[in-house]
Amino acid sequence: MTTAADGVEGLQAARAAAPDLILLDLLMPKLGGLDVLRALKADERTRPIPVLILSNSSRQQDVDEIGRLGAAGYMVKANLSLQELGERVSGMLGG
Amino acid sequence: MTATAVAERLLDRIRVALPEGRPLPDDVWRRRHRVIIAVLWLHAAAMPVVGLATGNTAGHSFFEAGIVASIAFVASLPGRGRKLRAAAAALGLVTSSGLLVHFSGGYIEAHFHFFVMVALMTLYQDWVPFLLAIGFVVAHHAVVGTLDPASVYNHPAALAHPWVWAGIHAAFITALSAVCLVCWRFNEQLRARFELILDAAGEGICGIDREGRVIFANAAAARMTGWTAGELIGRRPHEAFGHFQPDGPPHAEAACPIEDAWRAGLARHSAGEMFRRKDGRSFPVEYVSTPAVDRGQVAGAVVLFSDISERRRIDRLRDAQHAVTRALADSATIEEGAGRVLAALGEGLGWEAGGLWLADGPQRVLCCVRMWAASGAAVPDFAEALQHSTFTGIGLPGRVWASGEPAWVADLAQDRDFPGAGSTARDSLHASFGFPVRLGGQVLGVIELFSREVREPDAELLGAILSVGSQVGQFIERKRGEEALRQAEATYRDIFDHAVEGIFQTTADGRFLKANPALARLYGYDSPEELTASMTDIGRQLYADPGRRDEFLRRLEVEGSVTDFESRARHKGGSIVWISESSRAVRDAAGALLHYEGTVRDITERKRVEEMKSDFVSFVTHQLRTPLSGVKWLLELAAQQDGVPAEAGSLIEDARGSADRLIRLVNELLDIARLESGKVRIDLTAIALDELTRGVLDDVGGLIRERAHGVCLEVAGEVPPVSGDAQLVRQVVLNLTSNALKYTPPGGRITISLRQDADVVRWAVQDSGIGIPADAQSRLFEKFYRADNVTSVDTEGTGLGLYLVRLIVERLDGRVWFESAEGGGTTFFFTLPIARSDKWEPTEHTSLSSRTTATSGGPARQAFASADTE
Repeated sequence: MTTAADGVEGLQAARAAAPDLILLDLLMPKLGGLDVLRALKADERTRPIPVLILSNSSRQQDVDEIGRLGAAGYMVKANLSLQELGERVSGMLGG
Repeated sequence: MTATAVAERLLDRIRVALPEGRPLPDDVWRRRHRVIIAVLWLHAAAMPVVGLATGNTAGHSFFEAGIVASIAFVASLPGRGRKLRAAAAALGLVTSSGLLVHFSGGYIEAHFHFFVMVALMTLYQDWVPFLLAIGFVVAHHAVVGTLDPASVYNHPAALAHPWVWAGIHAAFITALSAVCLVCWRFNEQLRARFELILDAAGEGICGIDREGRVIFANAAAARMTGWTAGELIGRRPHEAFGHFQPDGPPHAEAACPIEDAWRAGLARHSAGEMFRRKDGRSFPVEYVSTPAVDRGQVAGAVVLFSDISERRRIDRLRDAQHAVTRALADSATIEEGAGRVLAALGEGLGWEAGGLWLADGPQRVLCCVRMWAASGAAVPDFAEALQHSTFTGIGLPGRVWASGEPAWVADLAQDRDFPGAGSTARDSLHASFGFPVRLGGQVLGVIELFSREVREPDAELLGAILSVGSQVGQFIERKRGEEALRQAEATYRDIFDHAVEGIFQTTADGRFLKANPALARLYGYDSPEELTASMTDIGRQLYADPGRRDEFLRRLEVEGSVTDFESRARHKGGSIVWISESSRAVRDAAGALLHYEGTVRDITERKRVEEMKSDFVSFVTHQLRTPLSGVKWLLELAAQQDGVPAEAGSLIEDARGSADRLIRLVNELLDIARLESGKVRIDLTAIALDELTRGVLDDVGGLIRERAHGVCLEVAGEVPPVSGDAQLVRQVVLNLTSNALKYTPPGGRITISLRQDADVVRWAVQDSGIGIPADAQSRLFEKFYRADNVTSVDTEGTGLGLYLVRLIVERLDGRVWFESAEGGGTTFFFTLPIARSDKWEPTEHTSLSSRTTATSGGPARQAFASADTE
């Protein structure tokens, strides 16, 4: 598992490590989550990696954009327990 | 036929044939008398000559001549009666006849002189001289012929039988008399007819002789000129008629057109010159002066004339009425009309000044609206007085106003009731008349006219002028109506022009019929005209979103009116303005569409604020939830640490519960903010309520077990799917179900039932809980409201849950309510409309993957929040 402190770092890490799953926040320093998602989906190498959006923002236009860009899912952090997140992640990795 | 009858008829015939002896007109008689007298004096002069020539002594001759001359002298005496003079003349002439016979010694042919003299006597057309002449002849032949036949006859047969010869002479003289009488009679009849015609004529007729003197004049001529017919005869017409030109100056006699007839033999005709009567008054006249030509010579003239003042008056009245009609038609205001009407009447009828008063004001007094004075008629004092005068019931206007009848004052100087008497006297105004300005039975005001002359009342003028009063009344009413309309129009125009909101009329094909300045400004145009000229297809040119106009018209068509229809419109400058339209379709009596009209508000600013608010809510939500989720997750991790003391573990659990509650509160506040602002995006789908309810029961299974409730779901038969947003409906079911679970003491019984009720599906949850106090029931769905008995059971409630339920259900066109008794359990109900089968879609559809993802992954709360629109 790799973590990143901002969007730029996250994008580099994703390209470098080619992970099985990316958990992505929307509001991040340097590069926003939507831009990161756009970049990931624009890149041949990272496009197949499922991206699960985790954020406390729930603006409708963000949600719509996320769906359009092909994220695997969208979850509101505050409404989620770690246990539920774990179950979801392992479900996705297992599937 | 009897003899008597025959005699009577005969006598009748004779009587008819005999002259009446109507006296000749003096002038005719005088002329004839002059001729006869001349003949008589000729006889007197010739008598001594004849006497001497026939061998008589000079003494005898001159004696007899003296007799004739004496008689001629008597006949010539002026100042004697006509009969005496005529009789004397007759006596003198027949005496001359007798003397001629005597002088000639009974020369029989001298008798012819008798015949001539008798015939001459008929010129008098008077029985006295005629009968005297006949009587003399008879007496002379009878007396002298018998006593001294030799002085009467000069042949033996007559001398032998004087009576026979007297009879023969008598027969011839009788025959001559008969012929003379018939001629006399004819002459008399002709003259009678002539006089009848003259007197029957309405026109004045005067005969003028060659010297230019009146020789006859009929009764009408006498009546019009004020002279008697006798006074007219012998006068020069120019003097008798006082003939002058219409504009005042008299004709020079030498140039008098009437006299051209006998002076130059030229016929003259004129209508419009003036005659002056004997009493000095004048009148307009139409005359024809025709020369009388006898054998190629002008022998005089006949002048026919008529007084046309009546015709003039009628013409002037009619012209004045026409002028009034024209004046009213051309006038824009009451005051202008009043001025023109007064001028038309004054100038047309020959009055020098006038005024119009209208009843006005709450005191109902007559106020002067307009004053007029003929040009050149300076009436300064009077004008001043009129302008500032008001009347109630006094003065001529006051009287007219009170009575509604016209009135006339011949001389204001004599009228004590006229308040302006002083000023009229100073301006020398005398006659005055006034008439009401009427509208139906109502007297609106009074028009009064003034003259510098004293004028006697003219009833015909007063009668005719009433129609002018009605005309003016209608004009005033019309103008007042127009004025009221104009003011009303101005008021509405003002509202239209200065309204803050845009006001429009548009056609079905997308053009502007009318737009106010506010609307033009709203869309960035300089003027409404520019806007209406530029817009030929509103749907394409004005609305930023295609199809918006169509939607607008569709709703107008279906609902008749539309309120607060919000759209994005193109500003002329290229920017986008948000507009809110309220409009209705205007139709004619038959229901055909005429146009659409309505108002437009610029809501760009409101939209901007809403946007800011939305951003703010979004920001706050994120800012609150981010640390809360951190707390929540860290506590979760803390609870999983090994070796946490049991007491600390319990504290951590409490802290986690508090964090959850705080998150829930934030979420609910967020939901409410979105629902209240109407910004929640509703995805209507067909929802199977029974399945949805089972899913919720699964989610709250932990709570059910914890509180040891018995929960059952009863579905009555086949329940059709409802129309709603799955996430929102789920929120409602969850809230109502968890309320029932929480507020029912452990081990309670909860029944959820579902059934179709006409075109809705009714969902109900019945609990055996604490119930709702009566005083709380009416406030239960209010924001932040919590019943008293609830706080004792559950301190965690926010007071937002039922409020949220109500917002959602009402938003989905449903209804929510409850039935409860405190301590006796409560049943909550809600209904939702049955989904129309043509709109059914698979439940697993969903347009947004993140939604389904979230639903499957987390609690209902999370799914709902993620689906919201901000």
